[in-house]
Amino acid sequence: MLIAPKDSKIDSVAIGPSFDLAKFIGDGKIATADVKSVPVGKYAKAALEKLGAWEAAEPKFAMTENVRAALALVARGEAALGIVYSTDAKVEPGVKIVGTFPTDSHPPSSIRSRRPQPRSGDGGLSRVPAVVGRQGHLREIWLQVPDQPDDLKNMFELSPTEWTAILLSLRVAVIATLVATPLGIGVAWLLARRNFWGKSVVDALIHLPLVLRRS
Amino acid sequence: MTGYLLLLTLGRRGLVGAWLADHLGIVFAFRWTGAALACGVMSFPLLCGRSDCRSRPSTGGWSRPGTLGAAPWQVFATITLPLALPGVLAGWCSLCEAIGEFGATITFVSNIPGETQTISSRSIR
Repeated sequence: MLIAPKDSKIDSVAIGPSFDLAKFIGDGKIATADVKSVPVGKYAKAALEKLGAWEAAEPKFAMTENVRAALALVARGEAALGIVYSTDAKVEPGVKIVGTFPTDSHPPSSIRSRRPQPRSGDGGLSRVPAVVGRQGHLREIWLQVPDQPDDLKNMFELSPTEWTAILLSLRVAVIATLVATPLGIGVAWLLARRNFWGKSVVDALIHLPLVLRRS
Repeated sequence: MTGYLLLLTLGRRGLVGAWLADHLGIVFAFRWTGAALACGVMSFPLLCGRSDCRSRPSTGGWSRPGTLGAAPWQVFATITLPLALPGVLAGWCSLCEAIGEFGATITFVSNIPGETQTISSRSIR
């Protein structure tokens, strides 16, 4: 399902073979869950690939950890469009459904995962079956092992996007710490030396991120 | 959760975020500045807590120079800050926390390769 914020000007979108999502969205962003690891993201990518719109639209995608986070980004008006399941779209009052992907554009959603077939020569990796068991329950898992020792060396070679990610992490962390230092000293001084109305509230607010770790 | 709270307050439709966008033209969503903000907020308790507990035990006699005519800011700059300095430096360990921050970042600015994709959001693949 293609969704938009409730008060968006976009009302309905016809999704078909000639649908150019990239042109349609312009400068905005499309929120969906990670297209490599989260099912809804995978379906979104598969559907757009089938419609021939994926390549152009890829840089417009803002990927989130799960479908709820994508829904929140659209509901708060940060992302112009989002791709989520219809069931999720219906429970969030801040969004409206503006388009439906044709059923033949994506593989049927299924909770049964397919067992990977053993094959070799796939990027130098071959899959070997391994059986692990606990308390009498046997479970089959598949391990990927490198074909040649050279592949282990390749593990440490980083692609340009990986370098960008590392540099961005460092930049973000250094700036965040530098900006937070004077603020932190100030607040710490207030908390240590002064007594004021609502001091415990401020104290609690500051320590809130420590207990609300995830997401 | 913190990322979602940030979205509620500093997002384009948030109380503070709408004001910032209208008056100063500052938008955090989908930018690296938003990622920095999320990291800063998440690591702030560590930074602040360290600085706080280092300056706390010295409350007693060290604050007295005020009675000898030193202005409060002089007391702060010459006595409190040097005493708290080890705590401030220890607080910089929050840098590591900021590098590893994942949840708040991906919820607030999501994961756009080349724009807001940090090393931790790349690693979830």
